[in-house]
Amino acid sequence: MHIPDGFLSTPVWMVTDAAAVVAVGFALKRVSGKLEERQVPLMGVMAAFVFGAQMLNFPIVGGTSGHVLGGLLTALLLGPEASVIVLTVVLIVQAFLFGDGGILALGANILNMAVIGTWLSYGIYRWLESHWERGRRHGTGNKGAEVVAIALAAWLSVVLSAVACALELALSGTAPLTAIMPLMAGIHAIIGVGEALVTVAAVNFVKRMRPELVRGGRG
Amino acid sequence: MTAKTGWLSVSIVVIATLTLLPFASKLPDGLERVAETLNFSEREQLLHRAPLHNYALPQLSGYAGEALAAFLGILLVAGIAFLLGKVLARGRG
Repeated sequence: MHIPDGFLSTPVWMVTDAAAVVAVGFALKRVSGKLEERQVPLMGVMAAFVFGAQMLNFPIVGGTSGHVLGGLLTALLLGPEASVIVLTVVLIVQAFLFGDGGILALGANILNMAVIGTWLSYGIYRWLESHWERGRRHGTGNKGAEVVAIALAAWLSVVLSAVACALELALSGTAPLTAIMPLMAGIHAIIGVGEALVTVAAVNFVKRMRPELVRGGRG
Repeated sequence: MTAKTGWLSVSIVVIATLTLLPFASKLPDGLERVAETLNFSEREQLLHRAPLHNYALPQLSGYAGEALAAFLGILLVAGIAFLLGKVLARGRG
């Protein structure tokens, strides 16, 4: 869902560019001096994973395709702030070197995929998880609850990114909100199932191989 | 994770991506599909000619070009994120 140049009105790209600078600046400030040495190589690995995964479109219904965003997975492994930075690096390289996503629209794409699709979905995961933890203390929680929390937050990361994208395009006068919102949300509700499957599978894989890496950025 | 494990993992990502690349769908993505449906695709403007536009090398067509673009892209983002991580980890303590 990389927005190209020309789709956003000047006020919308200006505001989203400014918001992205503030959000990424905040993430950099929060993580600066706090990133652990052992997380440094993982920053590179996750950037590689996100870039690779975003090249691998899978077909969905109606002659449309989608790809994994990787925001929640990165946040689960590195913490949300470092994840915003990893996704932002990928989006900048995609825009300038590969023409995927516009230059003026870069802020909107960072806001949708790196901030909303990462930070917000991680917040949702933590919220769901805290309810699960409480349930477990009362003896009502179950092992499947964490998988459900990851799957739901991963699905929402794609859907909420798409909702934000639809709002920006509607505010730009590119398409009426009532037309674009159900289409963007509907298509990405299907693509989000792929995101949920890949995120759950990847977390399980990392937990088996390197359990200490999962939620290593927590704290 | 050590730097060695990191680069080994990046190599695995490269191999996995290059293996799956021929099976990647060429169909329009969600936003491109919506832009076609709602007739605003033609608003797209190219403000900057990206050297590897559409994940392809101008001199190399087909899988070879795409694979090389993927390889370069993965290595570049991994290198930038790794160096950025090094800077961000500095002064910790």
